[in-house]
Amino acid sequence: MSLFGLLTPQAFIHGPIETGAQIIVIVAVLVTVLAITYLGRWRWLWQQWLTSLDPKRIGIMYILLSFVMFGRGFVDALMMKSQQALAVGAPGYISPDHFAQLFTAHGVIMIFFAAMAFMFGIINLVLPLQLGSKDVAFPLLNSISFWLTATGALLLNLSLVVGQFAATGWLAYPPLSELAYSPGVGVDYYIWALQIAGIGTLLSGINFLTTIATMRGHLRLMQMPMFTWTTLGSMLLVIFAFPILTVTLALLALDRTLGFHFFTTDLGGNAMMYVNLIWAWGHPEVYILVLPAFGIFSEVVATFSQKKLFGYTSMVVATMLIVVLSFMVWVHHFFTMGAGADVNAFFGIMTMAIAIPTGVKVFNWLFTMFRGRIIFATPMLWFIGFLTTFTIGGMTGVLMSIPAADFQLHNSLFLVAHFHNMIIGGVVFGFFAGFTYWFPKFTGIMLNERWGKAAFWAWIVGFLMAFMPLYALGLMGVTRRLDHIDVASGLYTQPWAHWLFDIAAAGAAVIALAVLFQIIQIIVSIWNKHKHHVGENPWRSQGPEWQEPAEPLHERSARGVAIGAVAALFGFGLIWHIWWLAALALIGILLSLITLPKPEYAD
Amino acid sequence: MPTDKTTLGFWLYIMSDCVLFASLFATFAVLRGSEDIFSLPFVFVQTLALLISSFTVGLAFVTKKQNTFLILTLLLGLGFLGLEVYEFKNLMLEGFGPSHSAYLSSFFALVGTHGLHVAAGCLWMLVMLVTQRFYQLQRLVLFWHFLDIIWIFIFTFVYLFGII
Amino acid sequence: MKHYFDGLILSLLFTLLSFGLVGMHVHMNHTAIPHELLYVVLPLFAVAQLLVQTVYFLHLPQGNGWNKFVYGFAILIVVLVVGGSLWIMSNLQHNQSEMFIGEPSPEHQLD
Repeated sequence: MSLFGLLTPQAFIHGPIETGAQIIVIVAVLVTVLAITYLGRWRWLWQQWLTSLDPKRIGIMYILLSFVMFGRGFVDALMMKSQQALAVGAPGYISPDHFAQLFTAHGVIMIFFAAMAFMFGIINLVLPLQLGSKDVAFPLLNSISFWLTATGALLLNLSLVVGQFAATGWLAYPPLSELAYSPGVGVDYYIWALQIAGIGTLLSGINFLTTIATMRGHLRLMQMPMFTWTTLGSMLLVIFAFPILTVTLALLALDRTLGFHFFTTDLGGNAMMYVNLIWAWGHPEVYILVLPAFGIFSEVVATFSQKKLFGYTSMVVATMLIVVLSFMVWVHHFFTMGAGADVNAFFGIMTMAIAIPTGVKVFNWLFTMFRGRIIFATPMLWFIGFLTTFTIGGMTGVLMSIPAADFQLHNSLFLVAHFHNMIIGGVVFGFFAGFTYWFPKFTGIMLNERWGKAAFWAWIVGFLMAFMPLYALGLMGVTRRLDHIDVASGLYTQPWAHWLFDIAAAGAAVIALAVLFQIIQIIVSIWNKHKHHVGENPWRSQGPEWQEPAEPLHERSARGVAIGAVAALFGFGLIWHIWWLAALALIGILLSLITLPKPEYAD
Repeated sequence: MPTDKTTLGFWLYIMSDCVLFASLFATFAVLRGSEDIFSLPFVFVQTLALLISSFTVGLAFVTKKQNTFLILTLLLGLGFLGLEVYEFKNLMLEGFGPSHSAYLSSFFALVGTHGLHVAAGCLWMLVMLVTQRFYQLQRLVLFWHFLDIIWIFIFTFVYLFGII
Repeated sequence: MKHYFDGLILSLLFTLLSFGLVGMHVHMNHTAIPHELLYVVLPLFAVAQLLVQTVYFLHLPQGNGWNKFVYGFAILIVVLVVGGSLWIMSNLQHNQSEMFIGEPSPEHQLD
């Protein structure tokens, strides 16, 4: 057994395009390190940011992480779109295996390291202030959670430099993800990046729920702002859904590393059990993401309609109903796997049912706007964009909740359009609305409205162009994850199929423009901060987080960074079968847990 | 109150662990098979050891004699683990290791995960006894009770069902 | 203290009942008690012991609202995950192991 396990110099050698990516990652890291050194900012970075226990700083770090990872996930998308545009009756420029890694990485990055990271960022910033508390329940745990997430992102990016990533799709179904069919380290990178980040997420769920439960002061439950309520719902889902992911990934790891037989094709293994378990987690996961976005919209609609939110009680009830129901619909992700009509019908009906509380929310927002004095600032535009796109996506969801229809549409571009509709229209637009809305609270700077509006319009036009054609193409039978299209399929040469693909590709380019506008918006706003400077409550919101200034907190601890670093070594050791490294790292983790300092309140 | 905060947080962790074990139980139930590999008296002794240790750990909390009762609990816990390691070793030596079938994989994963939790609890107790700091005792007690509750379902659905 | 002792006795009771029943069953060459009965009674004893330990060891009824709420929620999720998985996977099994008995009907012939 080699000292470095499976790691050999070969692992650093890749094809031409991957080598390009590898170089970019290495150069980016070097440039960052050199820049910080040149500016003499290491001490500042360490003391003010990396070891900070201030949830506002941790929140900003989460958001910056999510921006970086979103960039990478978006580049993956652009590469896929360009490959599909070029690869009609031709090989294109990306090999099938590389393409598979692209769509896998795109999904994993966007869900775990763009969306989840941003969500925890916003919660860290806003939740304590909405509760009238200075901090979360467990500040050190908060830092540890961030660093575990960062470690997951690190491992994922490391797969670009050494080794490869999974080529299995973002959920890594067996048997493809088993050792027999994915013999490299790609799936192991996937497993350990997500396991480590997943622990961070679970700990955050516990942290934020405890914060809401015990640090409200005199605030009663039915007085809490809607963002707090939806965060409560989301964190309940995190606590009860993430353990399922932990188990499922662990079982896959046991199959791959120790020759167990949970999901293998022989000796009694059942790959479908993996699909069952991963979606029992996967469905709550999408509600984990969208509930806080709904909460943001509640805050935004009330503020920019200059009216109290309509139907608070029904909003709360709807939120909790969504929480419970989200654990009762998961089979709709695999209607075609072979269950009988009774199972499929039950879950189809439950899926339709969960649209009802969501509809209640939509109507409450509309009634909030009714007879309000609407201000069409950028956050409100994001809300209106959400309203239109999310409704379309929701309707296509209910369409697919009918098992018979789903048999036609499963794994087609129709499905791809639907879930991007929900995640972009719902989650991403919600996060953009929140980012624009709360930016002045935490920086004293209002984001430039002109660039904000330009970005909104580019996003919504780009999104519609990129994804509406996919609904039609899916109905015409085009499947997802195609790395090339055979001329024999006749598909691309049909005149208007051709148009649909081209519009979709153009849409991706428009979204790229939109992202550029957002980057410009941030730069312009900060560059001209004297022009964009605002007071304490520029939107004149009734929200509690706006009523008092947010003080910086000065507690620090290096333990979060340390645990993150040791977790990275642990993950790396397991991935490459460097057992001594993994064992040492594990001991390190245990030691850091055992030597946690005694809290002041303990007797 | 800070104490409530920490206890609630720990309780939430325990609840998440319930779902963790539920997933392992579900996998065990779905991938079930049968092998004649269990011994009723052996499991009975294990069960008694854990049940009594659940009692002694509670006593460590309500009386002020933490050292006595924690040492008792630790010994019972280590005894339980010793029996389990013995059982696992023998199964593997006799060709019933986890890589032999999905059923055995599930058995080792479910019972092994429980065993790892017990080991963690033992380590926790050891650290408490060595440092003589008992401020985490209430949480340890919760943890230990929870492990005994999981064992109830393990001995019922894994062992007793496997023996019938 | 007495609470704990009562809990121990009750838990022991259910444990002995479960093991005793199975012991008897095995002793009589697996014939004394019908399997189906055991498959119902043993889980019931397990649930009973869960309730005993929840009340006597965990003192849940005296706990605060949040503790009780998440406990209830956990029970719900456990039932959904275990029960749901069993229902779904056995349904799959049942629907996928149907073999044609004899000749397939004309529509199902391949040529």
